[in-house]
Amino acid sequence: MHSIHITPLGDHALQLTFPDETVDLQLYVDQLCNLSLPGVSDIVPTYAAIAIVYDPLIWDYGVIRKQIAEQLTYTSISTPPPTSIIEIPVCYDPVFGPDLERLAVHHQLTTEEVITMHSMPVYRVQFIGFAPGFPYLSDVHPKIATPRHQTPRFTVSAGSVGIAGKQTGIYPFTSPGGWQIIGRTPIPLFDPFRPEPSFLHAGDHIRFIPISASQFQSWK
Amino acid sequence: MFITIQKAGLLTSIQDQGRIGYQHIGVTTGGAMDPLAARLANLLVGNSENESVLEMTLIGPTIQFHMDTFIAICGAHLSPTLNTLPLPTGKLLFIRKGSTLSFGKTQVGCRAYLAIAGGFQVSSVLGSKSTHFPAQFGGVAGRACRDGDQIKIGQWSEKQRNMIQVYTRLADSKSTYFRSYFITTPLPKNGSRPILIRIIAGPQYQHFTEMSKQHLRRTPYRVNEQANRMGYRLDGASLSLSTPLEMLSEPVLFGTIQVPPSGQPILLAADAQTVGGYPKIAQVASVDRSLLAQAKPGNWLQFQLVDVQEAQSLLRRQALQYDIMKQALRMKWRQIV
Repeated sequence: MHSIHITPLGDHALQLTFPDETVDLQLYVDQLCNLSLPGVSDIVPTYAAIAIVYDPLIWDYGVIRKQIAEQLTYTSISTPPPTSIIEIPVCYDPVFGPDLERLAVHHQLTTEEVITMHSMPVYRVQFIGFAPGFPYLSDVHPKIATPRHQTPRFTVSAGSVGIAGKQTGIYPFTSPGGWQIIGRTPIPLFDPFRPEPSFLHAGDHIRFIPISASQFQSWK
Repeated sequence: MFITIQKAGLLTSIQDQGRIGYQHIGVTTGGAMDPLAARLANLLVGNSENESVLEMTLIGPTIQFHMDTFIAICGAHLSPTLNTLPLPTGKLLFIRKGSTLSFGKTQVGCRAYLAIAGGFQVSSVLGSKSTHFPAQFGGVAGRACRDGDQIKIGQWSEKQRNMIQVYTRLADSKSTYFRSYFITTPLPKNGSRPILIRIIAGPQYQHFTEMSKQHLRRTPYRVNEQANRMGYRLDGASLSLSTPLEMLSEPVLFGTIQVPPSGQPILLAADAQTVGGYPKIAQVASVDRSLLAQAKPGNWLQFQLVDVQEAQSLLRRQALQYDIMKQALRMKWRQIV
């Protein structure tokens, strides 16, 4: 267990910290879910840390920490190959991607090259965070990795696809945001009234499929 | 049955005890900033403790009632008046149809909670009626109350209906309150003394300089004007890491104290994101969450470091006191009819 560091995250949660983000946290999330510990309300993965939220009226920190430390098996398996790939249509029209042209110029590329580099790889959903249904996807091609805006925009439209450093992601809701926006998807990423509210989940694999502005408009 | 929000106040929204079990898809727990005040207001009026309430911030709303009913106001004292007569907080109040409840300036605390018999009839989204501002769902159309909003009231329980009928006949066409008992919830004391908030060392506590750790434990921090349901910016001694830390985004919760490069800490609140990229120096002990929710801009906080075991035993003691109040209030409702 030396490779997983367990610390309190306050008095009603603990944090499992892993050596780096190459560890497939989904393996541990599955293990933790299978433990079916009573009074555990949330298991929240991120890049290299998982929060476990528990009821402190049921659990002493020391007891739940011991339970988890003893029952979790450490595996050095890194991310497994994808079993299925979810395709996400994206319109890279400058109308939807206000930062596309500037980003291309910045990297001395054409916008077509940026679109190809962004839509070619299969990305892994590292985790969902920032907003309901917001996927953190990595890694983008190093040639298009771009720092976020110094000053965030007041409004980024729902469905906007952005780049921040080596990450790419999709804004499910219209909100303020600092990512470099290069396109937009017509797919609703989050709907609290669906049986499964979030379109994507940690561990999913996706690919962006470029679509035209007219395909975007007529997308059902 | 409904109420009319004649004037919305600064930030008035429907909240309950929040959404449990959706943080892995980016949905924060949210809910009442001061959960104790919300729960006790509900218990006073005979609701279940998790029922929806109105959370009112610093400048309260003006509300008109279109039926006889019971209400209770807990948490901050925002100078409530009923048809211009001052009202007490922490008590069960019988309200006549046509009455107008309004609020004045805050005397103590930041957030008051209005519970009404039957709760508010708004749809439950992901298991909660709480307003989720960023994703715009829950509460009244996923937003804060506006002038002119009409909010439907939920079904009364049989006991609530019976008792309201009794008072409709008895109370001699006056609104009234119950003098015999009241409840109190944690509130800052008036005066210049800082509010004591217990904290537990966070996952990156050890990465801060000795000086920073001492500052955090010994010097007070002021709640900045930029304080809302997402988080409080704090002004005070600057905090810094002993060596730069390559941080990947990590989980954050209500009460996480994170330190951005500016060195001025940010204390995350109910509507904070589920992940954050700044080092987490500490986490507020749950026992002091309600008190923290009642701190307003300009108040000073004095942090006190406790270990996780102590924080948990303090919380259990508070839960026990709460349970005693809960049983007593339930008993009152059992005796009434």
